[in-house]
Amino acid sequence: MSVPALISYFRGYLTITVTGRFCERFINVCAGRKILLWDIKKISPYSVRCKISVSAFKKLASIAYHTGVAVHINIKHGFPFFLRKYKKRKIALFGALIFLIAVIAANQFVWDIEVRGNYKIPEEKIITALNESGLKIGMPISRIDQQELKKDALLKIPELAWLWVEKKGSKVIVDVREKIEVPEMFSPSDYCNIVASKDAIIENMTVKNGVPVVEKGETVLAGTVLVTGKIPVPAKMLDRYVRADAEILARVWYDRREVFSKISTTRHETGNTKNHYTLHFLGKDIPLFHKNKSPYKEFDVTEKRYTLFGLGFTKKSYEEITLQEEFLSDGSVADFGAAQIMQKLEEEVAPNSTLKSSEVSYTVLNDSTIEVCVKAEYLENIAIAQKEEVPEGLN
Amino acid sequence: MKRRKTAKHNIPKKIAKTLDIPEDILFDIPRITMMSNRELRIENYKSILEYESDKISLSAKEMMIELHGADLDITIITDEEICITGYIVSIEFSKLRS
Repeated sequence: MSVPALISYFRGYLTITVTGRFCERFINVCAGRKILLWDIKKISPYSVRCKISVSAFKKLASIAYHTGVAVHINIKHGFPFFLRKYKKRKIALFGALIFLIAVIAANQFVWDIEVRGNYKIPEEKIITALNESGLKIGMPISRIDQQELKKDALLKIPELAWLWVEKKGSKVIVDVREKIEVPEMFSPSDYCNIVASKDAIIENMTVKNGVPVVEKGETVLAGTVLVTGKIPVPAKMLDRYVRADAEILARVWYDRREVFSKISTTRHETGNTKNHYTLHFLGKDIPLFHKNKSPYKEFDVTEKRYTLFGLGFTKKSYEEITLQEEFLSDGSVADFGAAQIMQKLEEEVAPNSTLKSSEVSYTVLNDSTIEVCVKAEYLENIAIAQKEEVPEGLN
Repeated sequence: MKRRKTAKHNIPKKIAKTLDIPEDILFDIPRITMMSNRELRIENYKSILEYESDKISLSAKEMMIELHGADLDITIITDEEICITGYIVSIEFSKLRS
């Protein structure tokens, strides 16, 4: 609808029929008196249909009389006529009014709380903390004190760095930022030993600070002190305590065994789908024409949720699938298993380690399972700093 | 005598020509705009003389404009401008008898 059409709709306009021998004269006089006519159409030799605004129509009587034509109203268009039609229907008007009031009233309350920006802290924890601080579903929006909530919630959940409660219509959005964990800090003056993180044979040692306790080629167990931060000072007859620092490259052996199944199941869609709709209202779930049970034995499910004024609506789509079992050869399962074990190992070893050698073997346990065994040798840095307490009365 | 009259009449026209002013602004000469053969707009018309769905006659300054066609509707009419839509077949100009 164009803007002039919209304006004429709100002001109201009429479709009229002008009948008479001098329709042209009638149109000319209207044009001369600045009465706007539009969509003029000749419908028969002696009659013309046209449109005219309601206010201009009142001036037509004298023109029609003087030009000798008869004017009839055919259709009344526009909002004023629509309103007039409903003026008599008091109950409908009353209903519309009540609806309006209900919508406005519903907007004054909190219907939904949404938490954004949390990764580690569960949403329920934040919401319960806010509930205790006074933010509840169903409370008036105007009574939310954002500053107070922020202070309260940040005190209750120490893992949070920042929190802000934002009002958005009838919805409350809680925006949070989590604290990043501060790594354990050693100050350079602390007394520290270097210990072995794993059982290993020492290949190479680079000591930057402290006194080495072990030697090259020595076999060490996890937790053995490799480099001590206690430096004896013979001249003064006492010890100096420093922070030991070293890079110790050692050969570490890993032996990993895992059982893998020879059966691989693949999922195929059958193409059958079924949608379940659920209504959520004030914390209650109302299933619509279903019993909250999957219609299929094996299925994939996708869920979509919409909310409006605390009225939630969930669409659950079930897709039926069939499982197909397949036997794999021993070799391929062993390869797959070895790759998986190696992947886990890579995460376990210290960064910048090098793989020296690896060996894969497998034993068939029964018809459907295989045990894969991986032996791997890594050259890795096994040094870890361990903080020690300086003995009393010394230093 | 006759020569004088035409010369006198031509003076404003000449001024308009030298000053490069469009003539339809100075004198009530009809300005006709057409969009293909579907829409026709005439500014500075005087009145409708005849209106049928296949023929419209208009009077303008010193001339009569006659449109022939089919389904001719007047979409808008004001005291200065008239807009006609439909299938226009021909436009005829003739000297207005007065």
